Amino acid sequence: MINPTLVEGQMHGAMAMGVGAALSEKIVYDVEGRLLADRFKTYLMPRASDLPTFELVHQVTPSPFTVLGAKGAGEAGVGGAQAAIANAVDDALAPLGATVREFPLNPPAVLRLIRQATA
Amino acid sequence: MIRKRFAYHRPADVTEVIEVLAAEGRDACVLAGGTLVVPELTIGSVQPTAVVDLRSAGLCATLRADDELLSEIAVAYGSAQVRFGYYKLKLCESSWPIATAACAVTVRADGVCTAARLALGGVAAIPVVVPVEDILVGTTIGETELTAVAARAEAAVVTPWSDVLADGTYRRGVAGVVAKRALSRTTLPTPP
Repeated sequence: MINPTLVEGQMHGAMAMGVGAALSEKIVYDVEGRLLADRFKTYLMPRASDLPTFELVHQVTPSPFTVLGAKGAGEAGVGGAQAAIANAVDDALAPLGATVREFPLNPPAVLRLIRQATA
Repeated sequence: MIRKRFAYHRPADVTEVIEVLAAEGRDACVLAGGTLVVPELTIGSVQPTAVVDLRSAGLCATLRADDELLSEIAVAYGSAQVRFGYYKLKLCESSWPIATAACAVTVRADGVCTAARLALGGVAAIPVVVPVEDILVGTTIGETELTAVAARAEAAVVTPWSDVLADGTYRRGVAGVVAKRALSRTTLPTPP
């Protein structure tokens, strides 16, 4: 890595985005098409205290297509973080017979899944 | 930009505020600081026919004289036998509270409860007082009483509040647990 600080910063941000999408971020409109989740008290992005400490492990593979083997590093952690949370919730609810099928998995959504499975 | 027109009032004192509100009725909207109301007017989620600005009526003014400073706020101690419990449920750190519960119980030296009050917040348009005295008074609060209070709290939420963060079914569904957690905090050992 040419600049590990920047690469890791990108990854931290990406994982936070993935956690937010998986657990709390939701764009909600009313029946007339007005945006209801219009501020950060209603469109819920994760804050530092919502997140665990991240530990990164890098698999460095030089690109065969560039002169120095360099390539860009962006927000590659979004999908992984989302999938990890979906799988974790699905695994936790599996004994009840519930299956996770949509995001975000916020508390009302998870309680609904539990109630449906145990009704 | 605020697209809908409204009458703008700047009453001079409290009496005039009341007169304006009485004349305008339910379609009037009170502007105190503006933190919530101005964005709501901008996006059109409230569309009042009149806005009553309290800032000119001296209601937001300070009583502090030039040579004064607020250095402390003293609150009288309640009885040492009164224990308080509070619990707030949020969806995550940035969320508005979804359901809250506050309670005060008076506990005699022998551990028996002699008075109890519990109220829920966030679950309805106004706070919901849950009658718990008949469950708690005369008992040493334990798991049986906590469970009974949880059931009573859930039943007390008759018209639950719904908004963008959580619907009424969820709020009523968690009211019992939130009440139980607030009450169980009064049974914790008092720190030395």
